[in-house]
Amino acid sequence: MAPFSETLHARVTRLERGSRRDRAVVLGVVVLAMLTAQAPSSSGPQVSTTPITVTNAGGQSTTLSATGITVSDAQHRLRMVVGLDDQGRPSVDLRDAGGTLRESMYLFAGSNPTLRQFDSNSKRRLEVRLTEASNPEVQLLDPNEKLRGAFFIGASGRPQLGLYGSDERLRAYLATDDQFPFLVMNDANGQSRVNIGGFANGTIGMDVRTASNTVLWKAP
Amino acid sequence: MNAPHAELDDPVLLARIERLERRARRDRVLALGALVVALATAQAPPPPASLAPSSLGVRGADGTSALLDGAGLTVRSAAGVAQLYAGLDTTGSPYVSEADANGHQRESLFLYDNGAPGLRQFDAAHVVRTDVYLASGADPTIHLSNAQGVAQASLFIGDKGLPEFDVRNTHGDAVGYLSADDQGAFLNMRDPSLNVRTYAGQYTDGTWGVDVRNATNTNLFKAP
Repeated sequence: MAPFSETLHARVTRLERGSRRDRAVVLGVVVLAMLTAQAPSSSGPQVSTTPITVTNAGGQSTTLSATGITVSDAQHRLRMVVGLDDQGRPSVDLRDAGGTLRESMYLFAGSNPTLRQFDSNSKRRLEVRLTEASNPEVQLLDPNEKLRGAFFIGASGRPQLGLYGSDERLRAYLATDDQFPFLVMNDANGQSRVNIGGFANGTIGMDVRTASNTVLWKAP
Repeated sequence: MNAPHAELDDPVLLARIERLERRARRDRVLALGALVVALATAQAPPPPASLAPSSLGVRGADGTSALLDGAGLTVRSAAGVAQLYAGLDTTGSPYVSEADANGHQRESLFLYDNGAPGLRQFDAAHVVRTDVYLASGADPTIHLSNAQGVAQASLFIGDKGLPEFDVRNTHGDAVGYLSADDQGAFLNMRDPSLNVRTYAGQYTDGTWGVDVRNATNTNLFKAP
């Protein structure tokens, strides 16, 4: 049997050595855990708090963020946004190679579906939408964003086709109610000059009028 | 200061050393256990930005899946059919496409190469039936087409800047035509040879009226 002092010395030495080794192991585990830590799993989807960008060999990239996806071309120009816009509306925006918005499909005022097409000067030229009364409407606009053509169901519930001058005043108007269709053509002052179809008194026919609304000819 | 032999004989000190030894064994077991757990649950650190992934996929419990790659997003049905794409097309233009359950494209929202916007709706045979776009990059145009893809009704602003509406025969010829300028409006109707047979509205001389013509453009009736 070893002398008592020698046994005690060996035991203390082992303790010191073991303590140093264990400390190193614990530190190693801590470092490993910090480098590789992941959030505890849950039953919900895995969530990232930062946008994720994927890039292909051509340099195009798509970024997934909390509001949707954006797609950029090889020159790093933003070309598409699908998601919620800066006003929180669901929206699809397409931009040309110059970065100009050319087409947008979104919910106007949070609920009315709208498609807009823009020319290269960012002028709204075509719009397809449901109005606030939920009536369908197509609008064609000129380079000055003046309404020139419309195809819609109006507030009265009538389907209508309207053609307008550069002053946005109605020039031709084709519509129908449950009795008869009718076509009205107006001059620059808004006076109807030719009427064809059903008249307000329930008759059907056609007439031609002067600028002062005098009937020049009528049939039958 | 105590003599060394006095410490060695101290039962209190011996008890403390034994407790230290027990604690050291227990801590070693705990440390090794933690190491095993850390190794078993470790995930690779995220790659640096320069090594961003080239694609990212998500699969739902029902078999649907979404794939995000550099060009955009593709969503597939549980049957593996690509039904939605939003991204860049092969020419690099933005493009959104929706397909039916058979994978047939039925709707697309896109920009032409010149940047002009377009919306198309397709029938099951992939014929364009509704076409909404800016012609020449600017003029708003809507065509409604038959099953052969021939436009039969159109509403547009033409190259003269005038709003126009026409209905067309199956050859695509405008046979009913309503248009307007800043002075007035006119309607004409044509026969299969495209001769004007009925006219109403403002004439080029500024007068208003209606007329009916024969196939050689002779007035059969005119008023006033």
